[in-house]
Amino acid sequence: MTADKTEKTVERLLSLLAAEPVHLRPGFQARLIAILNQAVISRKRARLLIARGWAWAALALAIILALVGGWLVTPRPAITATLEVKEGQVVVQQTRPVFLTLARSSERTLTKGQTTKLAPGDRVRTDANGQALILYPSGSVTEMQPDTDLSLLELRKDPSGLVIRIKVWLGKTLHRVKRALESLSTFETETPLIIAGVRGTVFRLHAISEDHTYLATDEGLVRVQMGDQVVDVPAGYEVDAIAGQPLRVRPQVTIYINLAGRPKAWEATITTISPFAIEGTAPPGTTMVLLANGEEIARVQADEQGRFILPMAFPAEGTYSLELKAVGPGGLVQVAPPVPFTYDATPPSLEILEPMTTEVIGASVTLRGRTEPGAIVQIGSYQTEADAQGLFSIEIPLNPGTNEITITATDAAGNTLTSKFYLVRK
Amino acid sequence: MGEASDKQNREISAEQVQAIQRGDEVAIAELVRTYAERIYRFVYHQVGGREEDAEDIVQETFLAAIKAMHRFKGSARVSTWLYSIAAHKVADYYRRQKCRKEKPLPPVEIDPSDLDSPEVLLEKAELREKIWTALERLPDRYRTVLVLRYIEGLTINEIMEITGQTQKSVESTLMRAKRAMANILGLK
Repeated sequence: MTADKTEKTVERLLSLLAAEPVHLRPGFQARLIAILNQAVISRKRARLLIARGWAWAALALAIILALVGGWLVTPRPAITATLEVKEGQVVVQQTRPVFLTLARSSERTLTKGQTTKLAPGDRVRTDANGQALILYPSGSVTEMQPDTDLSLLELRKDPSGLVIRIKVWLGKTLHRVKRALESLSTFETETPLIIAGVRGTVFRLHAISEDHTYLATDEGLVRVQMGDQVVDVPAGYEVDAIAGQPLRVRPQVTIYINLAGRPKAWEATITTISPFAIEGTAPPGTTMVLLANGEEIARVQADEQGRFILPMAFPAEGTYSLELKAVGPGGLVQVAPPVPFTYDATPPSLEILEPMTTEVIGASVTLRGRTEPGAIVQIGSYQTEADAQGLFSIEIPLNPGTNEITITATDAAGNTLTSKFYLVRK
Repeated sequence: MGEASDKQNREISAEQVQAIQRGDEVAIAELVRTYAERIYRFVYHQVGGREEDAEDIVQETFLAAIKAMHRFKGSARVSTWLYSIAAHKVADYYRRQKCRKEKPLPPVEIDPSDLDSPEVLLEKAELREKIWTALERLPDRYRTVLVLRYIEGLTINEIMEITGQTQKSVESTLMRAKRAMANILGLK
């Protein structure tokens, strides 16, 4: 058989097979249609599920991105200060950003030794025993005294350097401001009344009330602004800013009254005898002026160490109002409140009321008498103080026979009167 | 014959294709009614007349078609596209059969003298079985073109469309397929 014939035979065999009727079995088409429809439905469901899955995934992704983005753009304090509690308790109110513009406020009490970070907006209050330090990144420090309330208003870096702004609502603070070497820092302190702007200095601030702030500069220069008034407070000077009054800078003066080596505070009511001195410290070279009842009675200049002594002598006994003034940058200013002063050069009187006779029975005797009210009465090592009427009594032992009694009365001014008499023990 | 030929050549419309892509049940039913029998016959003769296997392959073919319908662009006819899918499914079927390591097929030989009156012989199930067995033993590409050409009666162009071969390649494959089948059948 040739190849061609063989191929024809194969063709013939296959075409004969083709002639055989082939039919689908009954019901197959219907089953196939049902299967296909079911497959279509399943695919639609699957697509829907996938689409939903994608939608949820996209939503979840969007939420995550929003959260992450929001977290990233949430403003956070770039710079913080450190609060260190030195004594007592300190209450810290803090507000911290949580998400975007949402913030969480908290208040907590810190005790001695505890620290926390302070950011702008935080408020710190020391209790009656509380003392705290605020340490700024530039090295500057604010010391908070008891019962002090302040807020950190601003703490940031700008092109000119570190900017620190605090507000002392109430209480005493001391500020040691350091100027960073590489940049000029701005340190500004406010009270309800004034704004103190400083660069590299040490100063003390006492927000006494909303209408009264005291500021003293120890180093450098502090520029104080109250309303439209602006004054510079150099080292050694101070200012009492009182609402409605002009700002007057005056020297920082410490004073006391030296009564023959017995110093008394300036605020004390003084009754004394001459001589005495008013001593103290002021910025070196400051001219100190003492006035009695408004009249200048002494003038002296503080030495290189800032010490001054105003020797005093009064021409006549009497009560005076003493005032101490200094020549400051703005003229003569009062540096201390007037203090009442009595110059008394008269020794106290002394009268023995009992015993009425010089003969006494017994090993001891009680002496009664009258002198100046408040005077100290002394016999040997026995001593008592006269009452408001000047009456006194003092018991002393007696030796057998004749006893010499020396009695001394010393008044508040230091004037003394000594009297001598004899008692005979029987 | 004319009605049968019309049925044989019938194609669904482009609108129906789009309806199937949307998952329209009526259009899917029409797809099955139009092509299921043709594809079944194409598969049936390739799997040795095993009805259940043929039905499984047809089902797989239509499921694959439905799944891939959204990719059908209409550049070819739906029938040729379905034949193409079915040819791949038959090839898959034979790959699975090989994996199962079925018993070797019995020897196939036809006495050339029987071929004098094949119409009569065909009445015998034995000869039909022998032709199917020979087809099964052929490589996939040979079996596919033989069935398409001589059982389904498709033109060379249609086979080119289904197999993606050139005309020369189709003709050459047909010739080799026939010789290979003759060898299997013991025709000399």
